[in-house]
Amino acid sequence: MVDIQNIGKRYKINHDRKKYFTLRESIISVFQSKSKEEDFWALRNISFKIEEGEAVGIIGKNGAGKSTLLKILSKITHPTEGRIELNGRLASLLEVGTGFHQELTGRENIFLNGSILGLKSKEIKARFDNIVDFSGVEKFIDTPLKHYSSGMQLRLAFAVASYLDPEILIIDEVLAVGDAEFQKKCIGRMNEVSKSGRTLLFVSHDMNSVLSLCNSAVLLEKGSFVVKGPASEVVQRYSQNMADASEYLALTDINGRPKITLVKIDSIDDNRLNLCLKLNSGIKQKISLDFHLRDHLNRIIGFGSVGALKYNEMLEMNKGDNTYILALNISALASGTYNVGIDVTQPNVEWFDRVPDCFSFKIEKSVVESHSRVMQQGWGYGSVNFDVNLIEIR
Amino acid sequence: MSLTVISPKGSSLVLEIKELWQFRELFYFFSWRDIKVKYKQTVLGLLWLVLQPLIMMIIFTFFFSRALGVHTDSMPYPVFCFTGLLFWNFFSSGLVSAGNSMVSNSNIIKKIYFPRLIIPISSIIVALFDFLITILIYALVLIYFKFPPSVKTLFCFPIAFYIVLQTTLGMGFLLAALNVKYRDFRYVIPFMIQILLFVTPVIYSLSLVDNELLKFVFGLNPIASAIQLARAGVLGAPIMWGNVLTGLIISLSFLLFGFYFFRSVENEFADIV
Repeated sequence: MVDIQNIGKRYKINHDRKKYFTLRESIISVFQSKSKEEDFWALRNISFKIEEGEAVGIIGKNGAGKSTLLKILSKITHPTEGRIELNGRLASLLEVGTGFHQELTGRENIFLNGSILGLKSKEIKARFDNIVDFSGVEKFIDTPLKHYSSGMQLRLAFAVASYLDPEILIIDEVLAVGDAEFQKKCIGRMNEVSKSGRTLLFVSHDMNSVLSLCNSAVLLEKGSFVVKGPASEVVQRYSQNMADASEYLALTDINGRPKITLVKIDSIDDNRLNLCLKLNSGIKQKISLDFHLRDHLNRIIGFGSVGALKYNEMLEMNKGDNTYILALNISALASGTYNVGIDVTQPNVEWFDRVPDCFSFKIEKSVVESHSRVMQQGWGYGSVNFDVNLIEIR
Repeated sequence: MSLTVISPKGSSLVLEIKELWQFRELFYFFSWRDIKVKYKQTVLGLLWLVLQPLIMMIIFTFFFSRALGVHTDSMPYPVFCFTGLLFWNFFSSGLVSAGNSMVSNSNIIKKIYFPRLIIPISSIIVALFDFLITILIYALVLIYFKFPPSVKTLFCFPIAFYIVLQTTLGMGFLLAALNVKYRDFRYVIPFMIQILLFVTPVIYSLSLVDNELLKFVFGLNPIASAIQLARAGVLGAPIMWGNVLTGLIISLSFLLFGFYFFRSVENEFADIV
């Protein structure tokens, strides 16, 4: 059980100072007022509880305070206010391979790393074979670490940490590195850990791994607590928050190639999205505009285009600014948030401009009749709702 | 299952000492790592430990005894000098590595929790390892110069060592903590060691000093007390108990102050290192 009560962490920011002080500055500052210092709360008023055996994902944008919270939980840094009570041994993996030494062999590093993470050497011996098996480096176990590839080092480090067997395991975004196969292996291992009744706290920007690993999630925003609830709901809410920026602005291309300079949503309802697009070009050019829709988990949902499929619909651009109003038919889409990327191309010949996350929009369908529901992206059944009609009952 | 409480106040002294005990294996692993790394990829390896004090002893003997004729209280100069160097080298290398230890282990400090005190202590254990090897050479030198270790030597050495250890720990904690906050101390430490060497009778004898004020200053230097005690032990000369007592008290206050200071800034380490 982890009980977080009103946790806050304040940093003093010195706008024109380095991170550490020099003696001279300290001596001078005795005689000066401390006006240059500014308080910055990396976390404030964070309160929630985690039950035993819960696997909790902690999500939020960069700077939301996720890592600070983990650092406080793992006692690396102290809170400025508040109190945390936790039951059982806690181990944290904030960075893979902390404490590894390049001159030591794999075997020596397993023991060193294990003991830094809080294991007794007896316990490390008992887990040694498992660790080596998981990491797959048995051939090089007596070779200095500096001769390992970075992938091998990563596997070894994760292996040590995942066999710590603490009651509470904290993992920061460590899976961002490593290839897909390794990530799968790690997720599998963490699933094992959480299935065995241990509490897991997991920070990630990858919503798919949060969803596959965690049953609940906590959303933080700019250092404040937003919500804790079932992982799928919180992830969806997070993605909606990401959809704040719905306008796109860019400069013209220096080489005069056709380029998107402005994208703005004109109007939107359940069925239609009207988009205002401004393009600039230094030449007369025929183009097609391609739209890629992605859902809140960055899964690709659909494709729409003017010109890419029917060449005779291609847009004729004049020199200078061109403004187009386009209507996107979105009636088949489920409630949820969509990210749109736009490509400007000459189909099959070349592409002129490509904006992967150009704008996003949100569909909130309301229930029209009783005895019905509106399809939600968050259900995980996809995002396009197509008609299924009963033809006949026999 | 144990209940852990995290709050702004930090943990109590008793809890912290308990924790040091819990993490006791880490002392071994940190110092083992440093010793291993220190002598990896060196051709002579541990032989350096034997060579360093011997070469220093020979050079000092040549300059101070032969060339300058330093007076050494009826002790052969090599024995006199080695006795001083034995303790001085432990003190200076322990202090330098403890002083830099927190900064050089900053990547671990920022990512993992364990009692921070383990880091400077482990780096002093590395110096202790060197000390123990050197003491074997020292014993051989004593026998060679017909000063076989007597009961009195065996009595005086542990006390002398204890005084030096307390001083090294205390100053090591202090400098390690200060170095995290003020990187100036990276430059202050070597400079300080040089100055301390002048006010410590390592290569010369205190009997050369006849200024009362200077004598008082020397009396306050615990390393000087320790070295004098050790030399008295080797020589079989009377022990100056007053001197030993001051050494013990001053070194203890160093230890307590260093420990207190380290603890008071310990909580900020991860934020500023």
